[in-house]
Amino acid sequence: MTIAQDVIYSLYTIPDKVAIVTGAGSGIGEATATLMAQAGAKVVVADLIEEEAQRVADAIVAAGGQAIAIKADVSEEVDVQAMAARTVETFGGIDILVNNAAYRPKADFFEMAVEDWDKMHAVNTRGTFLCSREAIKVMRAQGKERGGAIVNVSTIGTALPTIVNNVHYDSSKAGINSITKSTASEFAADGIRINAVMPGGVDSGGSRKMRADPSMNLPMRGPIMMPGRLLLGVAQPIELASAILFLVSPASSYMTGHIMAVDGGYLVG
Amino acid sequence: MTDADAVPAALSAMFGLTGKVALVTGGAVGMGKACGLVLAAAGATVVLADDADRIASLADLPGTVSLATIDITSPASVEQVVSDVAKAHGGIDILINGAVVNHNKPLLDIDAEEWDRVQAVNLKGAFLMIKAVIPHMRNRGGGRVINITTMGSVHPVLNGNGAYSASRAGLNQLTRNVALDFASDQITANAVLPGAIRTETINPDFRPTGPGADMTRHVGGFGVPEDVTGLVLLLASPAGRYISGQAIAVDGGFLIG
Repeated sequence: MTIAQDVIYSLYTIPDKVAIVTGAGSGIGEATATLMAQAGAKVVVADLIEEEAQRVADAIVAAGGQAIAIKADVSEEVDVQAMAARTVETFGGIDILVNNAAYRPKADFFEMAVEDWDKMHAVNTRGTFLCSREAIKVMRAQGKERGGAIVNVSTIGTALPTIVNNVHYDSSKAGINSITKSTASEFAADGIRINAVMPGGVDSGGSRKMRADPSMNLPMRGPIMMPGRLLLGVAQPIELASAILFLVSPASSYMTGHIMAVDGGYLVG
Repeated sequence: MTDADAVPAALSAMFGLTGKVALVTGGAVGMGKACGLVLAAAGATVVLADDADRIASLADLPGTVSLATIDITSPASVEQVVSDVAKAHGGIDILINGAVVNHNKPLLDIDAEEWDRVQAVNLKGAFLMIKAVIPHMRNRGGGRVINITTMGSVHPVLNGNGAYSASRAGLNQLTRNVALDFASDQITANAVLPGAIRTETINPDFRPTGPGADMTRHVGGFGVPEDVTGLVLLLASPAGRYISGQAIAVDGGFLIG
């Protein structure tokens, strides 16, 4: 063992913690679920697409980690309740929740159907609320000593609009920022820490899907998003996963209610 | 995972600092010292720089930690120390600007000289360090600048903190400009904003007034210097590559409230 392993173990590992990661079938969610398993957690790989969730869970188990796959639509209360119940039944509690699942098709501001607006907020904002509520119920019941940690995945678009035809997405994610601060404040006394990350440009499953779908082939760059703003290029999903791991690990024990940009300098560019 | 022996290689690669050289100002006390020791524990070669009397008080340090006496308000002293460190260790990869003068006095009672003294340590000193270190980071193909400021730099926390908070707010903005100017050199710059963290440099008889004196807003109560080390190591490590230009609060939730 090197000395470095000692400090990394005490700061950044989460041995035997039970972690739910939503939208974990690809991209940032997959990288986060995989990294958390490497860091010692028992992981629930939740995704709307069952086969993708199963593939990620199988890979974690094959690598010697602990994981189960759960198919869940985070906008549906019954799905979320069933996910929480199965997590507790399988792993004996909930310590960590990463609200990563997101809906993201773009839509023209004038032509957007109200159903598109509503679906965006149903998945992103209501989904974050529903998952947080079920997880916090369990975390509170486990007691303040055990506590818990939640990380919500937002976007830099909530701080600085990045692309056009994205008003509904940015709005839903701004709601997530607000949920982050409100729940951090409300449940701090229960030992539950709640923070968010704002990714910049990420080469994730969601962005790859968007690029592959011709109906999504709307301009990616609005007047504000100049190519040079991503000062440090585009991130790989693992670079978001490591920031998320930090926010649920002992390394961030004095942080709550913070919304951390992991954006390669976009917001200063 | 039941112990440190089981830490997988992926995590060691992510958060380890083997082969890196770190220079820490304000390195003999409080958060600077705590951060320096954690960077060393993560595998870095660390130089703790501080006033002569503070340096003299340090003992029992790990073998990879050495000491330097510095006056960060003096360009000559800064250049000498930076040059010595780069020469002794082959370069500099990480700079932690931890040096600070804590200052709390009603604005109407401060004269121009006292204002200048606060800015000289808390803002100009960081500029001098950054200016001297960045060429060495460029030689290494990248680097990390980490400035320890305060939550009072974004929210007026205590009465009588105007000179101090302004100096730290200046450093926050300098952080953002360094992030912009040197991104193409793969140098990141971030500010860490500690909340109510008790260090040995704070007078125990200090009785502040203002919203920050109300500890109910700090959901975690007082913090300790070690509370910022996890974030500082993240920012210094390979895992922190994509985080730049940020002011990150480690404040027990104070800024929500």
